[in-house]
Amino acid sequence: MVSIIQVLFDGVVFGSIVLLGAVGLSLLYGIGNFANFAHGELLAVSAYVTYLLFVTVGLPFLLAAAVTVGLTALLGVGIDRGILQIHRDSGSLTKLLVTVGVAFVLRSLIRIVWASEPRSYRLPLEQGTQVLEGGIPLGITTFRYDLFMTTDSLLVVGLGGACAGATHLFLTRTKMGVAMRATAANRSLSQVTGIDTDVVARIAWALSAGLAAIGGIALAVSSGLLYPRMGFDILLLVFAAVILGGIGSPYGAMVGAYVIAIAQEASVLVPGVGARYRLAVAFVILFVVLLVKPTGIAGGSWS
Amino acid sequence: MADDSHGQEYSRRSFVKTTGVSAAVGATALSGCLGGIAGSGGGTRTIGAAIPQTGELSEFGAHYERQSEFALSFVNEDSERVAMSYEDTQTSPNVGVTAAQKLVNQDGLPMLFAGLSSGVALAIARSVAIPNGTLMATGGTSSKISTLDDDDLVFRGSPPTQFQARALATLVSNEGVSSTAVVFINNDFGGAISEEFKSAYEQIGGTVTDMVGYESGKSSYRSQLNAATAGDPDGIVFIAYPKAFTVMAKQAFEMGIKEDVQYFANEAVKGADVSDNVDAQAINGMKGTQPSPPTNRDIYQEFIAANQEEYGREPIVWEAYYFDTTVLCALAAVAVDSYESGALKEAVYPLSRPEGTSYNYKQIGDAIGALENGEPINYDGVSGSVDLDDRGDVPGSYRQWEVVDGSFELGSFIDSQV
Repeated sequence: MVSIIQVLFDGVVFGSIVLLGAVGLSLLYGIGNFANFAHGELLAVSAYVTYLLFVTVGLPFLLAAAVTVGLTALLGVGIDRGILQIHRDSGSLTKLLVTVGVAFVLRSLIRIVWASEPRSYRLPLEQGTQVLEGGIPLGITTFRYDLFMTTDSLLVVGLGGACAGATHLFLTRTKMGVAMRATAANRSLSQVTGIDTDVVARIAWALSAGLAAIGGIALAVSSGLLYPRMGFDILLLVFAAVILGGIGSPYGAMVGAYVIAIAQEASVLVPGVGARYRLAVAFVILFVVLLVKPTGIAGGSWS
Repeated sequence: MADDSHGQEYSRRSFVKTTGVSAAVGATALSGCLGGIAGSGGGTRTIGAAIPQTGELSEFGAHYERQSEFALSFVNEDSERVAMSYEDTQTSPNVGVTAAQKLVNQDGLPMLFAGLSSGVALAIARSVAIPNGTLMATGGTSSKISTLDDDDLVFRGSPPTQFQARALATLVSNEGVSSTAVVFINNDFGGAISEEFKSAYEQIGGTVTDMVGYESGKSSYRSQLNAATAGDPDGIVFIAYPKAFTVMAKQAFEMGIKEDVQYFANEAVKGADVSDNVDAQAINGMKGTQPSPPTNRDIYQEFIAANQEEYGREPIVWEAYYFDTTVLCALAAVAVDSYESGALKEAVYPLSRPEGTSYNYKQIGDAIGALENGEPINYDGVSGSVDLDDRGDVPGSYRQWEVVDGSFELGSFIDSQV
């Protein structure tokens, strides 16, 4: 029998990475009312930029990661100013297709600069520490509660929590955060009260891209692998988390990320459902939640 | 005057006409003549290749391109006989089918090399090659390719998985590992080889505790690894591709799995993609099998040396198969009078078989000469005898390898017990 505690922990670790992607995606959706399909590529680009700074240039890893987060935030602002600003009043579908185009361009750029073969940061490998070990016999099977943890995974969980907390504080305790929530609730009304919604959109892009960068680096560290499609491959789960949480609500996205990731990891616990069906299990959970609560867990709420 | 001028004009016209016609006839005759000399309808004949230039197996796509060009350099030594036209499959069946359709339907090519992975190869075989009657060579190794209802249209120069799975089962058993879990890529290739491994391994007394499928492109395989170790096996057999295996090796090490079980793997994980990206201690001691050309043959050694001279690198085992497959395709293209798939199909099987005079890759020029004279030939490959059987398969030989200090080291040949 697989240890349930282990499965839950693995779900939380993976959920933290999904969360970093989902919160930014949800923010942008709330502010701009469009799904950013280039979000996955922002994760991938940031992972590669860190590779450039850490492996090629030789900066210390944390510095490389920090610089990358800043650069990716700038890239987000650049995409907004250069491409999406003129589409403020376009329909959601137009914006969505524009971001699909941006995604293709970014992924091709990665292929041009770094080629297609996989890479890795080659950070020192560390064996996890066994925190819990043992099992309770239960008739035909044994309830195992073993738990392995690595520093990496704890860092990822901490990072996910910290970023979620920081986003919360930003949205509730700062003027810009309040302006952002107001813009998400009603853009025209916000403009009437004097909020510069262009600036709000730009900050939302910076925040969203910055969080994506942290997610992308965490993804590359946790999987030990970089490849051009890495962001796109996780984007489906990120979208699932956003929709599950209630589209456009960063708080819902946080909950959705953990639910989707834990459901995915826990699929091995269901008898007869192999690990190969874990993505399907995650989406079955999504369907069920949407049947019960069609607006998602948080129902678009920002508080 | 008028009459004269008319007469003059008339005669000039008829002169132009006559010369024009005779020139045309002459050109046709000449080209027919040249065609006769070349043993073909003249012109360069193009072989389509739908290969993974990007995606999971892009490393192998590059190998294929290199070796097909290398093979053609021998075929085209004195004249431009055969050319390749590449399309990217992105290692995806859907994209692969589109790529192959372009080569077959749009470019009208009668011969195709398609798919380095079995999933892509089977998709292209079923929905492009067989319906269109296109002759198709492939690098896919699934046993499902052997049993395709393909009217002999599909063949390959690399040995199929059922032989490889038996060699792997023999290796696991020889290592004294009596129970093992199998983690396999959930596609045609992985499904077939893992089932074949299971039946071969159980036949020689082993127990498979769990068969755990995985999908590629995921950033966490912890649930698969948890499932694989749930039955407390002595070993884990990875039937995996490099990217996913890179992630699994790292995560399995972190989860403490590495020290409890012996790793085995198929040959797809063996390569720079894994050794460059995985920490040595996560894979040291892992053992596996790979199809191996008879390295004791001189012609193989010469091929290696020629490759090193040309490309500055030692080719991996698959490159010898790709090379031989391209040579077979090119010789078939040169051998037929009209470049269409029916004739190609008739031509390709005999020229692999031992009935004719043997020629190796350095004698391709002579082989082409013999073909033009209508003499039967037997292409003796660098990877072995490459004798295509009725199912379009070639026999293979297998060697074991082991990871020592993070790099793959080749060991002895395996005598399959199954």
